[in-house]
Amino acid sequence: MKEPITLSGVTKHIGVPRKRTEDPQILMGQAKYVDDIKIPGTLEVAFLRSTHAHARLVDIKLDRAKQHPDCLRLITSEEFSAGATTFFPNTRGTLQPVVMPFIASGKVRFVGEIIAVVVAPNRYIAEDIVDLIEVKYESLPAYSNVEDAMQSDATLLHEELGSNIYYSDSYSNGDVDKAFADADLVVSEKIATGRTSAAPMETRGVMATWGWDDTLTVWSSTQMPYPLRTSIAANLAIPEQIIRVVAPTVGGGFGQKAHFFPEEFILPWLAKEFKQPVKWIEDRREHLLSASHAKQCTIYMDIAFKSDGTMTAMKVKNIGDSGAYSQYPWSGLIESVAANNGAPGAFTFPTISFETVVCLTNKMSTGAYRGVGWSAGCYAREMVLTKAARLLGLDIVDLYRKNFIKVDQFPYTTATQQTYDSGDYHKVLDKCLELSNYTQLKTAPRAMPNGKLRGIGVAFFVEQTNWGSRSAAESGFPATLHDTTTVEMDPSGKVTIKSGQFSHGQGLKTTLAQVAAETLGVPFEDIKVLDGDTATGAYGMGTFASRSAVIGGGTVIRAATDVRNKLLKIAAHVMEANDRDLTIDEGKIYVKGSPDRSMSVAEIAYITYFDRLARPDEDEIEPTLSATRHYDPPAAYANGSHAVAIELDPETGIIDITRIVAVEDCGNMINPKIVDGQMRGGAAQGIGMGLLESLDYDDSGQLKNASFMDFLIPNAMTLPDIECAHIVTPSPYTEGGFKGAGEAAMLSIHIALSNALADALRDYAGTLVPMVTPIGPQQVIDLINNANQPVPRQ
Amino acid sequence: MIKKQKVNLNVNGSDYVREVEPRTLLSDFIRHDLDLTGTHVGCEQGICGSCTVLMDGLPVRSCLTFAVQAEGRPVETVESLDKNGKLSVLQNAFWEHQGLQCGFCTPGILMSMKAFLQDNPAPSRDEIRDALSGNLCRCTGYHDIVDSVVAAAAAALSDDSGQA
Repeated sequence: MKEPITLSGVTKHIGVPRKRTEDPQILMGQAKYVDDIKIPGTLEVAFLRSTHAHARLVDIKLDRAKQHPDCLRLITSEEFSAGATTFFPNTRGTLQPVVMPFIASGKVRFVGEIIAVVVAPNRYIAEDIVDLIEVKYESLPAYSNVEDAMQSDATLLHEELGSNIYYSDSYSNGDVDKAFADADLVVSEKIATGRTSAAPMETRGVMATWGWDDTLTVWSSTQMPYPLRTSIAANLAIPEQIIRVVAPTVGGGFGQKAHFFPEEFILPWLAKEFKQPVKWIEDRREHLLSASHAKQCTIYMDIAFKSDGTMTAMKVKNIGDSGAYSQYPWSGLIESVAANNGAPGAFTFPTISFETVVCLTNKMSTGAYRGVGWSAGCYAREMVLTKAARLLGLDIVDLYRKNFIKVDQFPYTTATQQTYDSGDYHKVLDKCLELSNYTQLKTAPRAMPNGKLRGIGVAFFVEQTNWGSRSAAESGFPATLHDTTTVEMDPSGKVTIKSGQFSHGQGLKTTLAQVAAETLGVPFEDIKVLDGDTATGAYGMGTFASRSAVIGGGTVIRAATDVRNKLLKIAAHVMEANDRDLTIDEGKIYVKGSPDRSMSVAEIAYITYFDRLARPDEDEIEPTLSATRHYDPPAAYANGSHAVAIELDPETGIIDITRIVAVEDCGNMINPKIVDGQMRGGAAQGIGMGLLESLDYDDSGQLKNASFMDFLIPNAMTLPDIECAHIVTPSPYTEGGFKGAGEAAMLSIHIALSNALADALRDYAGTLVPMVTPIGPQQVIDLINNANQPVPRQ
Repeated sequence: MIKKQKVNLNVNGSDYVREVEPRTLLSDFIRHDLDLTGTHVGCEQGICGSCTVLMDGLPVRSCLTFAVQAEGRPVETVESLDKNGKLSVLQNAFWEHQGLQCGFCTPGILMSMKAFLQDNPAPSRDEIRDALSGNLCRCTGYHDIVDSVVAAAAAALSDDSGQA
């Protein structure tokens, strides 16, 4: 392995909680999101979406719609019916494509699937016209859960597959049967995690226009402009070089906008076909129905223990609820495969077997959402641990300490062959216990004078970060992922970073500028970051999976180091010094130890561009102050711990969260304030997933809560303050020692919450440990009422 | 074809006269007829609060208000807060305390908090959370927003104008 670059020079910019450069424009209402881009003559699109979960399309009557005076275009699958081709090679031989058609043809498979496309002067009129289309459906049996869809006599969603299960595999390491036979205690549970949506505040939106020069420009609220460009080119069958994809300001993504959706093909197709600018902005109902869902798994988990709490082996069966299609580019495997490969968590047990099953249901497809796979997989493992701790007369903390990978065991290869680079798990856990006052709260009585029960829960997580090719492969996705960045100094000594990644709320423009300022030795204010536009960047995979600080930061370190070295060589020639004796600090180049012998970066940059006589001969040093560098890093694993304190009303089942503590070790932090922001935002989404959010389908496949009135996400009253602390263990493998921090709480705070509930109920008869998310009032009451029911086996 | 109706209104101190369909939402009117795109639409159902503007000085959901309902009434949007690029006390506190991430919900939150701080210039954290509960944010976990409002209140109290 190549040695990573250690940052040179003074540390003026890395680790500084700097204000974000992105913010003033946003605060003044000047930042432009997709719907804020204005091109005169833009037409608007509305979709007719299926109202049936599973049905044959018998007839689509378009006459009345076409007679509307403002109906400019009306498109159905007769115009085109293909589905997305993906740009990632299918490296799993047994994975069937199960592609969502751009427009449903012959049959619909979920409520919200596109049946027709209307183009009109504005959205109001487009929706009027959609209402005039009449569809005759012939209903088929619909499946809103995997148990029914998996039955051998179930009606098939995709007849050509021969089954509603379209993927299964298994893995084992060690003699699992023997380990279970030798165990002192085996705990077996069925765990069901709920279906949720990332639900960013800005919904999806796409705008496209065909230029006079035969170029296509597409604005999309996406996390991955370059892969989107590649996908559009492949599906429109036009050269990628004539397409420009722009992600303007984007109002949150959380993984959900890291897909290739039908709308991102249909709008460019319309622009190309009709040579008119077109726009579609998703409304919230469309969003909850037809933007990818997440997190829903049914997990059967068995863990074997010795009487002292040592974990010896694990068996897992994870059935992923894929929805009606396999969402590209990640495919419907995204939850179950990531969950199973991450099943060992922070623990040293050597023996495991897992089974991965992915099943179709009549719902929108499952896709990426913050903490993908791990939210469900970690929950299953940890709730079984909590139950085991209770049965062994121990605390979960005792099991953690007994089974943690120790600080001197890194690098550590887990039972599923993931190699963790570094960490100090005991130290992180101890910090969380100390800050949350865990031990004292544990010993206090549960009953409070107001009739409520107090509870405290803790959880620990290991987070797989920086998805390059190796990190993705360790997670079970053998995809090629990497990034490239150009660092360019202009004649005035100012610097432009041209990134293929994309900031949609993470403050990446700020962090990349901090890394560049540090590496180059120029003032922060002299750096400008361009991102989110394929016309200005370098090919990159985008921003998702806690990858941009590490991979984007790494490319900037590499490219800025090249520019710095070039600058020093030219300065050495001009200043008649040895370049090894020179340094750069805040825009000043000087001889180490003699700051008086100095020139400014701007002077050297000017000479490089414009003074052929003063600069070195170009055969000796090529006078360009730019560098383009690539990075596909080794995997790096962050870790952290959460504590949640609650008050439970046992009569109503309502949980009031009174305190949250979050401790994270993401290696060297570039901007601790931004890391805190990720921790707090992740905590809120994790509480949403654990306490509130559930996309509820009835037996006929209708989504019952497709609005923010009924599908609840946390508001300011749901959450207390979120106290953050950091432990820093730099990654020995990555440039700058960075690890990712984005998934964070989505791997553990819902577990801490459920542990707090189990703690609040600890005086009840039986061992009441929740095995579902979310734990809303009904689930809490069910838990109390259903104590000690036997677990049905699959 | 739906008959259009004339509407006179004052937005951020400027008078506008426009012909609109009666069904035109105030949010769409502000965004697309007046080109003031700082006001955002997150749900169109009056729940998320992203579209909050002030009408007669009070916060309203512009996605639940028709443009014709604003006839003759002063409307303030996020674009009214800064003075030629100089951030207001409230905006500056949000920048200082990172009270935003993706920023989509931010204009609505700023308008809600402007009205709130006029009513309650020295609020507690709990009162701020209560006042914020009509504005959804998916990025921040609210903590840094509460910090920002606390700081804005403190700064406004020591500011000559007393205005956040």
